[in-house]
Amino acid sequence: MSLTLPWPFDRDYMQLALVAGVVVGACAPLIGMFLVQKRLSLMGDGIGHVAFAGVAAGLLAGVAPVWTALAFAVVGAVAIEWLRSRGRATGDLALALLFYTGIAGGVVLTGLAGSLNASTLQYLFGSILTVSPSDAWTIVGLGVVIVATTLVCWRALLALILDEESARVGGLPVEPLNLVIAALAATTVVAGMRVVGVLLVAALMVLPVGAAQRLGRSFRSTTLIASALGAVSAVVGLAFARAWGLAPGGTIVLVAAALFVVCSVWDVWPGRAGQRQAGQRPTRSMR
Amino acid sequence: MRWAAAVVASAIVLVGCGGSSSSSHADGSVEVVASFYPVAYAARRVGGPSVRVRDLTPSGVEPHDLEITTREVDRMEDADLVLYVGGGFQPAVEDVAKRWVDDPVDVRPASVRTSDDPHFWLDPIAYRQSVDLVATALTARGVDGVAARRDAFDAQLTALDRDLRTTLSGCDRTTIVTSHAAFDHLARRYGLREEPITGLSPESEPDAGRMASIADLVTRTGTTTIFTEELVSPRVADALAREAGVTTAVLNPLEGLSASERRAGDDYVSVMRRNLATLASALGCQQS
Repeated sequence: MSLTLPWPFDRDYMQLALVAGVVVGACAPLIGMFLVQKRLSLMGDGIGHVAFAGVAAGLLAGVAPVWTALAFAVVGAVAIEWLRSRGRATGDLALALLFYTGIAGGVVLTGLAGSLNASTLQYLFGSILTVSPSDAWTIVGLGVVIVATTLVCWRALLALILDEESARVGGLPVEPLNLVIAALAATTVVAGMRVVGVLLVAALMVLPVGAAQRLGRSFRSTTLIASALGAVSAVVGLAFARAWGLAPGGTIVLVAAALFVVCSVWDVWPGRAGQRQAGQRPTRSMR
Repeated sequence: MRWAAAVVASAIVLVGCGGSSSSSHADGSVEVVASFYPVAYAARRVGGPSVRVRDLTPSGVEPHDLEITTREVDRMEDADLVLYVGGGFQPAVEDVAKRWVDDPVDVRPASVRTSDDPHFWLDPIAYRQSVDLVATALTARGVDGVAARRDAFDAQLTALDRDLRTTLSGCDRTTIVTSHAAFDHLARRYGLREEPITGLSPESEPDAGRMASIADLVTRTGTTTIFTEELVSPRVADALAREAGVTTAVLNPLEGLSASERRAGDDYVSVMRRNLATLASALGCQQS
């Protein structure tokens, strides 16, 4: 069976990169929506740092790094949520703890792993061009988990995000739902690790959301737009990387950043000012 | 949210699809992609004029750090022959070669495959075995006159080995302190002992204990010189040399030639001979 796609996706490796990129690009902003609303935009980055320690542990132990990274990331995300919700630490302090413990753990573990140092670079900055079919399946599988969980919990998560206190009063299981978001964020980081690397994966969770907030009129439409923008960033970023021989992970993130700037400019463009006042902006008022 | 299902479905369709491509050249030339300098040099020496060799690692780039872009992957896919060093020396290149290239050739000779240290080319005997592997692969691709060129290169490497052996057998000291663990193969071949400051990967930081024990070792063995290399920051080696009151000298691990070395017409053999001179003066070898 052979599938022919036009340039720049005419090669097998570009098609696998496309699968991985589109799945991660579409899924990351889904979770990013919840994190941004909770004012935890940097949580993805913190989890990424912990996932890096997980990668180093996996390389050291000779286990597939993706699973150790997933384990570390979920534990880290749950820990931060626990610290935050119990009032043991404020959100940003809990994040700081996560960041520095993760990166320091990663450095120490990489040092122990010795000769394997070079392979950790692939996880720090991504290596989407060396995605194997089994990597792609893993990413698709993680993507299915993320999308399915979000769909199942959609109403409850929405209620939680809009007003945590009312949700609690209304009898929603607030703590378990917060843990679901944390675990989903961890899963997203690990899925995106091969695509843009742990240092940049948070950008794909947050930048498309920022851009979509300028365009969307409801939480739902904003989520859909963010997801679409994430996928578009991956496709366009890969195409640019192919055309000019650029580092693909960084290019994808730069495209996402450019989309954010374009949407922001579009939003404040003088001709649109009247329209904006006429239309209702629930996304804005929610914040 | 039907879009999500659509994304996943199209992803599933895409995975596992895709054709394989084969390449051929109208002008009968053989296109070789080599992962870094010593491999590229071997291919140029034994391949002759009908072989076009492309070195994936640009001048002045430390090959461990080579970042792969789509350009390198395309080149590797399109080449008639891809030569690389396996065993985790350049993981990105190795991944691409194994996954997307038909019959890539790992040029590590059998004698070094179990070793942790990938820098086998610094031992001329192991390098000569590797050149044989390159020659076999080029012959299989229909390149003419490989055997004669290989024999000429072999003779040069044998002479280099003889000179290294003669000079390094009569030295005052046998311990070489190096900035990263690249010279183990060379040291073992000629009865020296390498004490690397950091591990196999040049960017790793030495731990505090290692710094102290190296400083002690320098004093104990009467070492006069700590060896650094061109493509890696000599910061740590400099600090150690200051601490121990010794000098530093450049020992080239031949992971690539700098632009100035290229301009000066340097190659594997001339750099190895310069390494020999550096070692001889640092270790106090009786040169005749």
